[in-house]
Amino acid sequence: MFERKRMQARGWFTSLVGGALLALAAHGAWAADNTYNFGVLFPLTGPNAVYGDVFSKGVNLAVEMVNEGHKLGKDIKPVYVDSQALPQPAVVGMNQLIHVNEVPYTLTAFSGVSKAIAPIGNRFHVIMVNGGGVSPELAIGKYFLNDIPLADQEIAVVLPYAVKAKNIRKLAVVHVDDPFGNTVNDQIKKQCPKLGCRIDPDLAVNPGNTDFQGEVAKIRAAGPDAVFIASYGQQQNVITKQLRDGGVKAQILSYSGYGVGPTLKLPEAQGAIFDHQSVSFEANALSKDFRARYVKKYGSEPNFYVANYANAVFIFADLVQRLEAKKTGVTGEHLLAALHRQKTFDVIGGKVKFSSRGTVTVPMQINEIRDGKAAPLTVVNP
Amino acid sequence: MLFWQLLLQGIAAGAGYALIAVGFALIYSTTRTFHFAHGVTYALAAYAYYAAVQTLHWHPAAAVVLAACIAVLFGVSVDALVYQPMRRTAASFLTLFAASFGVLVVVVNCLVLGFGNSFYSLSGALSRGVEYGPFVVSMANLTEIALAAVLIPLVLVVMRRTRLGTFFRAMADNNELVEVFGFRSRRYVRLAFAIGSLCVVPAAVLAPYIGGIQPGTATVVTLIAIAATIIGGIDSIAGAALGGLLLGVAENVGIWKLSSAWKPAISFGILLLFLIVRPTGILGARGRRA
Amino acid sequence: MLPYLLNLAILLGIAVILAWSLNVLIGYAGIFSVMHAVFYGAGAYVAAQFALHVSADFMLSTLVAMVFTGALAFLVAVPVLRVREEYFVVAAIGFQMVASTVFITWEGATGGMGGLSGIPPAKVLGFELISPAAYLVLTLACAAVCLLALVALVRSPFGRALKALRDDETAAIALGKHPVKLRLIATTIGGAMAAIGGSLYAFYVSFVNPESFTLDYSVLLMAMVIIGGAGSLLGPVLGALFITVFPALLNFLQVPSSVLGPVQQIVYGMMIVLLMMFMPEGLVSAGKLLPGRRK
Repeated sequence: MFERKRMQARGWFTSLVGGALLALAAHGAWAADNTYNFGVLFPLTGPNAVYGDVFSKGVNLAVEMVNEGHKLGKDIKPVYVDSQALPQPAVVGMNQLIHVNEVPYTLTAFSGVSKAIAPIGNRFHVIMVNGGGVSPELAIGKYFLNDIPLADQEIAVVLPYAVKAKNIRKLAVVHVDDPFGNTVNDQIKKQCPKLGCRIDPDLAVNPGNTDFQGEVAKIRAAGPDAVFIASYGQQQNVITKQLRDGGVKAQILSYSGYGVGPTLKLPEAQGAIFDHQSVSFEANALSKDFRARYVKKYGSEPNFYVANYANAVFIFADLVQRLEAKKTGVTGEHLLAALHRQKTFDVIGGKVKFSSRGTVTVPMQINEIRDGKAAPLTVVNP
Repeated sequence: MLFWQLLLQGIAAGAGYALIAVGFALIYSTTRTFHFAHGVTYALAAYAYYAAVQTLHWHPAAAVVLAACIAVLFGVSVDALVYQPMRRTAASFLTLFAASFGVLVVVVNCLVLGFGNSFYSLSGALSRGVEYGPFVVSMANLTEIALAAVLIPLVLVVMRRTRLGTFFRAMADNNELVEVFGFRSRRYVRLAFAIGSLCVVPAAVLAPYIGGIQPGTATVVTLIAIAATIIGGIDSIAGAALGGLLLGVAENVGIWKLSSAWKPAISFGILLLFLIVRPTGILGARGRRA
Repeated sequence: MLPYLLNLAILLGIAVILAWSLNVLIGYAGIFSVMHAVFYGAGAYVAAQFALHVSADFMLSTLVAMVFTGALAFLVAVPVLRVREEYFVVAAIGFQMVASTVFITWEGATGGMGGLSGIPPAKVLGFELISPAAYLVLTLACAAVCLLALVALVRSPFGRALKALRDDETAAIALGKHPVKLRLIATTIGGAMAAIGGSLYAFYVSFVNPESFTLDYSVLLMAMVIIGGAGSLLGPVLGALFITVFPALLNFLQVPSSVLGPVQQIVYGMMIVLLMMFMPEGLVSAGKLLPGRRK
């Protein structure tokens, strides 16, 4: 008896839900289409939200500047989707951006995420621009572009410098076990022998893991001259802290991902050496203007992440403008064709040119963390 | 050298697991409730302590009291609101389990909504490592070992030597008979939940200093408590403590040669082994039907 | 809008197949399995690897996945089914945790956390299925096949033996039924059917990684079967419908996904609690397997 009542109740409920969905569907189809939408797939929540936050600042300011310039027939509008820096939610989000929001161009970040969405963007002809992930694997298809130098460039610069400057014979490596961490680890393994240093120990940690007592014990037992941390977000902070708490006093080395606020300010990170691309905010009028407005709007200096994602927006606007001039529809294919015709763009930091593999080669800057800030030590040209 | 350091860490982790497992075993053996939401008690206490110290700037002692109150309140409430009504309708073991699981899912996700999915930790004298010769150990770890070494025997003494303990053991043996003799076992069920929930507080309060806390911790902690209890012997509180210690040591020493990615597999692998080969556990008491 | 609805329908179809496959264990064989995502994942990984390295033919990939997953289910069931009723749940959870770790660490087979990406589109009889509409047809076809198989199962002697076992184990044993053998076969069938869902998923999303096959998802599948009503053919469909549509609805209302996930879980967690408290009849009850209900 209960069974029948329950089945009835359920049937009712289902029709209610179905009806509601259809009603919303009708409403959804109405949504106004008077902007050029582009997708933004960032970690807006979770342990890596600090990156999404930084990246978004760059995107939002760039959008403001483009729309104020009124050079396009319609305003451009970012459609934000939270990837949580995880591949699975990112795939879901990318599918939504492509099939529901119908964007021709998307910003992405994080190597694991990018690797997962790249086949989808390539299949459905949507341009993806990465300004934060650094795995060398990210030369990953016609429609995938990186305006950040990848880790092969980074390691080739930071490791030789550090080995020489700090006389490193033995290097411990802690890397996150995902596409980013593993490829960076491969790069380190390739470079180290050439520089006459040994890796001991080489430790892989799970993304999301926050207890490193075991790793710290192993590192302490090995007594290395330096520890290379290849992680990101909260995890890299936890690793740093637990290393120091656990009595490891060795030099800390890292890559561009280390250059975010909370990490820089960590007392335990004092003295760490890391690198990132060198961005000059004096290079041209756009750079100076952007920097001034950024400081005014957010009260802090912009960094390379901000520049990369702002540039991705400026490139989008530039391409749309060219398509408008030729009266061509704004689709992924046409944007890509325009990009290949144009090749070089004037953006923050100067000119950027994408290689045939969709990568860029730029000067790298090496920094040391002093009192909560990144103090530049030197710049290495390609 | 590395081995001994890992062993030390394992004992510290095991001390924490033991405390939590003892709480779970106490609740199970006296009330026959598979309190799957036990890990939530831990998580709530940990978050409460963290919020009190970090956001409200309370003195740690006051924060501990708050954490303890919340833990006890939660444990007793779940029993009163969810389990007790179900006991009256003679709900089966699996039904109770599913309900308990539902509670776990709900509260953990409330924590996610409230605190976000991020990871929280506290720094201080407790979290810093201190060098003792070739070893490094944090005050938090030492405190955990000390507290476990004091509190667990205390619980066992209470069970063996006090009137309360006698009632608990009587309930474990034969609940109906206890009722026949006129003792309101309802009151003792509440006490069992209260004390069982209290057991997790030392471990919960130290957690932000050691590994940190995330909402997902609740599920993992519950599973470890259950694993420890089963491995130690489902009706034995001492067994649960032993099981907890064993798991802590196994996990940490296990990664001496393995990558730490294998940590969860070690614990659950041991659990599966026991379940299949020796379900009565180490201090194997008679198995019971629910 | 239409692509969105098509997408939803495909995911719903996969969920229904998975719920049906779990129902064979929970509803018909009385096995309270909280590790079903492992079989779903195994099927997905095998189909993905087959598609990436051998052939993207859907039927072939799925067949290979089914054989592999069925065998896996059998091998797992042999030791695990021996565990006593109350502990079985714990054993299932334990197995799920170990399997999750294997998914993450066995990079050769699963690609680790990075997963397997770029899975080619499914090919059926030589045609590549690229459009969501075509894929929906495939999904519905698979669901129909599963439904027919289930109906045949329920009506077969095997199905009747399972029902006898479920209704009164002692009597069934007295009549010469082998409970362990029956449950082993049921688990194998359930596992193989889950592989169909896994294969459909892998080809559709063209990416698989361990995040989709965790304990959380096993619990979600269990919730579908319980909330919908185990032991019937319609029940899992309703459960899958509710659990798939509800978050999609929230998604559509532009509820941010970081809120959506927890809210979805809170809702179905509450439903499980309330159902267990007030309407456990028709669901798993004391020491017995599920009482009979309309088929």
